Amino acid sequence: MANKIKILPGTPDDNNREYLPEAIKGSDIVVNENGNNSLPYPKKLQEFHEIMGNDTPDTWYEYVPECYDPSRKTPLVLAMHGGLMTGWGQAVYTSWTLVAERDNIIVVFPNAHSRRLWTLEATEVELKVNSQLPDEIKQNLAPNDENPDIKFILALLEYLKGKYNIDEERIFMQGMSNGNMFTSQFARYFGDKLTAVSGAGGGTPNPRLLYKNGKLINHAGPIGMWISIPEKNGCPPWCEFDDLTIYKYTRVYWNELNGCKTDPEISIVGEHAFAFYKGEKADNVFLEIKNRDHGQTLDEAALVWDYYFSGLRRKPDGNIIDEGSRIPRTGDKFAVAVADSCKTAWFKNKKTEMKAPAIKWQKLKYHGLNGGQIVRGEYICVPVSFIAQVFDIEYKYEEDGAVAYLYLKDKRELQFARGSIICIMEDEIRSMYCEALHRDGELYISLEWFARFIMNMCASRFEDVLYVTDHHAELGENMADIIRNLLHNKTETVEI
Amino acid sequence: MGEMFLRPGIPDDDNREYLPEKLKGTEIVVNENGNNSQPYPKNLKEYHGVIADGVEDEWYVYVPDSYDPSKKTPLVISLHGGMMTGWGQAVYTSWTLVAERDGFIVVFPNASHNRFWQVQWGTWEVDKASPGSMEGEPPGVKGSPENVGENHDIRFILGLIDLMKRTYNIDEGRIFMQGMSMGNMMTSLFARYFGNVLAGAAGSGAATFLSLLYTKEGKIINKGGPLAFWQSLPELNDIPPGRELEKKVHKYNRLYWMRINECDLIPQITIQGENNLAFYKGKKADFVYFDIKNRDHGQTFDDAALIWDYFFSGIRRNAEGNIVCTETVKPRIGDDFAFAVTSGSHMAWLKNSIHKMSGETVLWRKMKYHGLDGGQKIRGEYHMVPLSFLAEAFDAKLKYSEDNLVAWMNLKDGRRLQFARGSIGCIIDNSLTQMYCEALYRNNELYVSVEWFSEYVCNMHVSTCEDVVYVTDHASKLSANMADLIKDLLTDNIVPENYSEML
Repeated sequence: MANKIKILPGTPDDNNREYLPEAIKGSDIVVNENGNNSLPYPKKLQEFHEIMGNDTPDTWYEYVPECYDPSRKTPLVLAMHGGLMTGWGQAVYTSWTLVAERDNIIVVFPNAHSRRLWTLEATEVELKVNSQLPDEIKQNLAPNDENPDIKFILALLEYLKGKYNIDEERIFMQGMSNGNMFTSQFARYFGDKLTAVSGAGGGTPNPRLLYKNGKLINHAGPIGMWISIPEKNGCPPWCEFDDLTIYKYTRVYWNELNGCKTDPEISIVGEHAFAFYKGEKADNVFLEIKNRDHGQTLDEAALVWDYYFSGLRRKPDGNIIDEGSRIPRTGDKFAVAVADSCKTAWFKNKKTEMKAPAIKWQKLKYHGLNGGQIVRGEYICVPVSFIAQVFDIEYKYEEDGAVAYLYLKDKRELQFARGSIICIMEDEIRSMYCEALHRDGELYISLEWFARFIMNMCASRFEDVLYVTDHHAELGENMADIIRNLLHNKTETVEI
Repeated sequence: MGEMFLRPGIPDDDNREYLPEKLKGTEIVVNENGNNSQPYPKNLKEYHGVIADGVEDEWYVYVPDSYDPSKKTPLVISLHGGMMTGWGQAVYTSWTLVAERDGFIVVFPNASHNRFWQVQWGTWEVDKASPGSMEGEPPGVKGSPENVGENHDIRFILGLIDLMKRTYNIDEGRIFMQGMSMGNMMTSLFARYFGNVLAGAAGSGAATFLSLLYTKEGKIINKGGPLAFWQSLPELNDIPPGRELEKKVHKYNRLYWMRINECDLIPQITIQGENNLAFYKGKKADFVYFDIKNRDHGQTFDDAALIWDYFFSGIRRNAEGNIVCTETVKPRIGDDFAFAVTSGSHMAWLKNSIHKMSGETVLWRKMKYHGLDGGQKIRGEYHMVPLSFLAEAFDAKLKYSEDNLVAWMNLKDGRRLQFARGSIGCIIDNSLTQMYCEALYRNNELYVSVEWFSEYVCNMHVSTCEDVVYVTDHASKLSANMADLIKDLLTDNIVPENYSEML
């Protein structure tokens, strides 16, 4: 039985413009930024300093929930702060402590060993970039055998297992930004010590850390991976690849590692867009958060736990199994996606073929412009036959598809005609967003208009991709990219 | 009642002209963001003749198949825009389709001179010449004589009405006029001087110069008396130029008929898709204000159908000369479930009336500021309202902690929500989710984003325009002129101080 959780009220500091104002520590001051929103300092968060795998002391913060019972195996989450942050900062900028309290999890928030930056491996690219940076903002770079943070975390894991009754099948790591880069690296080299990991605020900026000659660089085998990308994340300027490619290459790496070979299930709920991948060795999740900047959303830890970590176990034989997460990783029950010029559509989490490809149509103003024009609307138009299929409606074409009728289940009868912006509905006339198009024996109408106006659904478009659901959903750039690739039958691969 | 059927057209997508002549008599159709056409109606007949002043005129008549000479039949006179024609008005409107369904006659006259109606010109403000004012007619256009009774186009239309009465069994209490752009200016002129001939009038895509509606002392200029009136405004109409002036002109055009018709000051509002409608009840006649989201200058193809279905279909002028309204094809009622708020106001629009909230709506901005060296970027703007208002609007139960910094809300479907000051999190049934922005604490209450609550929690449609948020249970896009009307309702700015003295 889960414990009830409660968000405590904070004292907002709306004038703050710092990453991590020190005044938050130990207080109820909260700050809100579009990538990072804080909670009042958790009362039970405890600070520790000790020698832990290195010659100099390390610092970490432990959160042990009220309901912790030393006689019961308890899951452990290590949450890694972003660059220039701290363990306590990661505690206030995430919902781990709330989830821990509800579901009985121990969460530990270590500080990076030095300079509030995790030490990372590097290729020539990072070494060159670092050599050109001023000392105060240089990255911490080192090979693994000289990496103090790896030494620290490996020792900390052993220490925690000795201190608490940790469920060894349920040890997880999550990190944000620089902490995400460390989490990914730890998973690639020591992932067999964990069950699953999650990273917020970007993929792996240099995919050459992931691949060599088209092969995965990996020393630890399969491990569950959840990747969170805020839509406005932005990658560092030195990156070799554009942002979408970096996120795709990160996704492909973990999908390949875990044997995720089938199409994902997709769910978009509000500003959260999930692609749930099933893997032969482990499942993965890709989450994009609409209109969010670099960071981690406050509910992200809760989502990672509820949809993912809560169900995962690494059994003694090393296999990762899913015993059922708190919220099932299933796609939207009703959802349709189409892409301009693409005959394949997405319906109920599967690809389906339309009789003809979708068309992006522009509505123009041109009166009074001396032959010029202004685009006033862009719509994705689909054949009436497809609309009939996905909304389970009877339809009839006449005059080689120049005239179409739809007979809705609620008894409404609709008529459309080639070149007409009008739909006749129950003997009433209503303008659509744009006129009906006639192509190859099919009559096309705007799916946005039909979904919203006739079916009272939500339609969200990003560039050439349109997503329609029965609940509020906002399509972002990365999920549009995933859907576009799915519909154009472009298998996501890497080319390095 | 006849059946409505949309005939397929042959689209000419490359057309960039106002009215390509090849539409006449053919199935060619054109689509522009203010004007969409239909194939040339088969029953549309062209007529020429001398009706007034010895001038040869041209007009088009549409008589539906169902016309029965033994039955009184309504008449609609539909006036084309400048540089257009009667047949152009027939293909750019849905009048012929509705006429076929409901059995009325439509006549589409041509302006006598050069495809331009002989209208009055003036200034957008009564006391000064603002941009776009036309104190004299443009080149190639004949202005109306000062004595409107001597205006040939007026005399032509009056004669045409008589001719229609002689030719068909016209219901004299059900004669209507509708016009687009310059045809709307003509309709307005006709209504102001000879409105008593009509039962109702409607116009799209052009407001009337305020100097023609009001004296410098703010008195209404009108000789035609009360008249059921409908004004259609495509949101992107851009006449007059400049948003502030446009808002004023639209408002005073609305007030003109509201005052003459002695309308209630509070309308019923419905927004369906891109169609925004405010229905006013009047002691002498009703008034409708119709704003169309994301449409340019012109008339939407469904404009005529809406005017008929919501308005003209139930209106008549009785033998005493009074306007009466009987049942229309579609009732003029507001949205069953809808509310609206605007920043800085304690008032909300709720269930088609003005409702006082416990605190005023706060416009809150969500910032990105990390990595900007003290700078910031606005990533979202949300309207924050007291939880007590959301509880009332959605019939939920609200409970606060003793210090009011924490709130719990029980929704009708059994879900339980928890909020706390300064937190972007909301706990729904013991799961954490994130709102668009954090909960604010103001006036001893918690405020949350009306956009987030309505869309995410209640699966409603939310539309924001010019600082007004409109929430409904169906697809709706709030348009700029309707937003301005709602803002006036919510800021106690419905009518000016001199409203009662206008007449």
